[in-house]
Amino acid sequence: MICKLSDKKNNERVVLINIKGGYGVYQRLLDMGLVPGVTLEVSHNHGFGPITISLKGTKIMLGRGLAEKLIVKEEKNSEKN
Amino acid sequence: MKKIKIALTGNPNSGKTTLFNNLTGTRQHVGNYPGVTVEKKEGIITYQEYQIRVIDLPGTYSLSAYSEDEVVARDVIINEKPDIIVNVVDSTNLERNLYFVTQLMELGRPIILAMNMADIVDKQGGIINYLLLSKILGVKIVPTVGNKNKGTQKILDTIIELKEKQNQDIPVMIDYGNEIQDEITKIENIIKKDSELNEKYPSRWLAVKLLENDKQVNYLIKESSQVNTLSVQKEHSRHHLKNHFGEEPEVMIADHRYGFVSGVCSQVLETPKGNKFSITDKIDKIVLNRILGLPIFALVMYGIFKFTFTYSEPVVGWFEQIFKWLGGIASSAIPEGLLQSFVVDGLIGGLGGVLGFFPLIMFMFFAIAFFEDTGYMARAVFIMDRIMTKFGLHGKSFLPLMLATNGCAVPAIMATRTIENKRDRMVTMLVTPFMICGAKVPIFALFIAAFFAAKNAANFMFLMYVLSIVIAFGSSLLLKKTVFKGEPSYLVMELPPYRIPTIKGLLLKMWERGWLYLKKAGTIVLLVSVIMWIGFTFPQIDQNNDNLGILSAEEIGALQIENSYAGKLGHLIEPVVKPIGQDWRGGIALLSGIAAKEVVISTFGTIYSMGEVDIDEPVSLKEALQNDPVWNPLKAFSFMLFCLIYIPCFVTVAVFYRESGNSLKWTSVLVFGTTLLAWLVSFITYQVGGLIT
Repeated sequence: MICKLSDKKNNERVVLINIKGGYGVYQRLLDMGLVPGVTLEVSHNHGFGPITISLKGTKIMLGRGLAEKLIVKEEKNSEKN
Repeated sequence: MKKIKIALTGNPNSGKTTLFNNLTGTRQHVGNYPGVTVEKKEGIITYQEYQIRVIDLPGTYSLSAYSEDEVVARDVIINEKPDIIVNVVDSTNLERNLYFVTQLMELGRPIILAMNMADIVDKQGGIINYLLLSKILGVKIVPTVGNKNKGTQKILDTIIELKEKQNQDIPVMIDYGNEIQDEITKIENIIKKDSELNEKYPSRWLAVKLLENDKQVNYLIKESSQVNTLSVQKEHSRHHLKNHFGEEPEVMIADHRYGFVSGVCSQVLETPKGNKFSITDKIDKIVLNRILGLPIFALVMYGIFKFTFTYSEPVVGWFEQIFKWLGGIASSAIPEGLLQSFVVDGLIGGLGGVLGFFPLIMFMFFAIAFFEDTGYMARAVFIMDRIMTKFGLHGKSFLPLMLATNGCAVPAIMATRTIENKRDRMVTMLVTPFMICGAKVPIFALFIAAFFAAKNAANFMFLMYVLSIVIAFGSSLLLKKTVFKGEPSYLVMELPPYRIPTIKGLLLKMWERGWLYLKKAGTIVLLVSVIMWIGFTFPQIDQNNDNLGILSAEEIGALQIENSYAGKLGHLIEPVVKPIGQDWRGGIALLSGIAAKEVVISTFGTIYSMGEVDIDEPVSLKEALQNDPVWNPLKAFSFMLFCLIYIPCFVTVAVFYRESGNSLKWTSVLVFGTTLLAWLVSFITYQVGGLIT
């Protein structure tokens, strides 16, 4: 199922599909490892404020506005570890 | 002596600063890069027969043009052409750090990787094949443990080994795949036709950056003789790649870099079984908790204030004693008269006002460095972002606002540098001076003590703090809704693992920031103190006039003030301050407060013939104000409001000017906007209050 990263709950693993608009930080997101296709896990999403995710061995905090622009899908079961 | 130039690079939180401190000790020079507000740090090491100059570049994740830091980092490497780049790698976070290395490799300089925190990798049971890593990347590798000062010597040896070698090792090039490589070659061939461009920049790097549509590089090629051919080829290549991959070229380039990195990692790294985040995760579960997060944040902030004020108190006392002692010496050494007055009141008094405050600032810097180095400050941004964004501010704005509260707006404005977005930074800088800084506190304390019942004193003080926050947040909201309207800015930030800071690191950080503050504040305050002294001292009244014989020395002092340039100016602006309940005396007091806010009190002291007034305990001044029939609680309150809001002190204005990129426009907004707002608020309070009472 495809949805916004901001809708995902704690401990859910998802795959980034694409980034909607927001070209100001596009390069920055790429530099932080948020390349389409990457698998990430939501660590803290309170339903308000920023959310934290872990990917490639680091933890990153994203403002809510930004998390709403990241389109993700659930990780396939076979890839889970 | 032979010279070597080194650029020190690395990700934020990689331990780069610690390594820099280990390498250079305290022989560091901190300054600013011209035109931008990025700190420039350099150090010189003498090792064997070499003099090694180390340029510490800002910690960045990448070398794109997203932030000023990144632009500075790559400009220095390209323009200064360091002999060797020493890049610090957090070995526990190899993938993220090597991504940055792939970009460094394109700059075509020899590289030494300092594999920092090598001990933690060992402890976690991980193994890194350094030999293989060195071979794959074509770089030298030295494992280091920054906080134990291990590997520093080896780095120096490797630097010299590399320098002495005739044909230097150049890092390998990333393979972007045929499709992208073809386009890179096409662009490179055009670049090579412009010998000037080709000499100045590594052609492959330039080609990749053009494909990425890098803003700054697009601008760079405008001066090239090949600008037209280059632009056409760039658009053509980007278009071609987009069609081929169905993605923007910058995405594909980043993708290849990550692909390369993860390939390297799988070859050289045996991952530990345990999760390196386990402790950090556990702490974050509590610290970032939906309910506990805010109270913990409040507790930490309280801790910082408590630490700052409790422990700095004796040191502040010593500083005051030193200035008193200096004043005493000067008074006895210089005969009474203009020169004595100039040295004692003008120079020593003026400097003492700001330097007396210095220990407190240092303690606060230390406390903040502690929470930064542990990794908590990034969590504080997480907690505060939600509240801050509601008021048009940024998660990172809380630190400046906090620094200014009871502290000083000068370091606070410098702390806004961490906010990458220019608009967010400007809004934060504009509203920071509304906070109640340490110098405004004694003004409020004096007027509350003089005009309000003792049992309400604490409540009134609290009210002032609440008002400062309301005004700051209200204005930021207004600014964001009007002048700074537009796309909201975004928050992207790494949450580093929690670490135990080193005392040496904390002290150096404290000293570095303190020194910057001292340099900025010191020079400006000295200048302003001299101007103020002249304003209050000239023209001199005739001391020999017989009519003055009946007056006491203090009364002559008051008369001198009224007849000085400052006094005349006070009379001149009386019509402006009258509607807010003040006469010429309040006018001068407010004017003098532009030098530094606590000066408002000492000016009143002189006007009320008090002679020297101790700003911490102005008992007699309090009584003088109470006994003056001109004053009443309403006037006192509207005066306090004016002091809260109007033009920040001169040092703040000067620092604002520099930090705003020498913007006269925004500095005028700060100076006149705040003063106008102060006048309006004060006017309404005084006039409406007058109708009610």
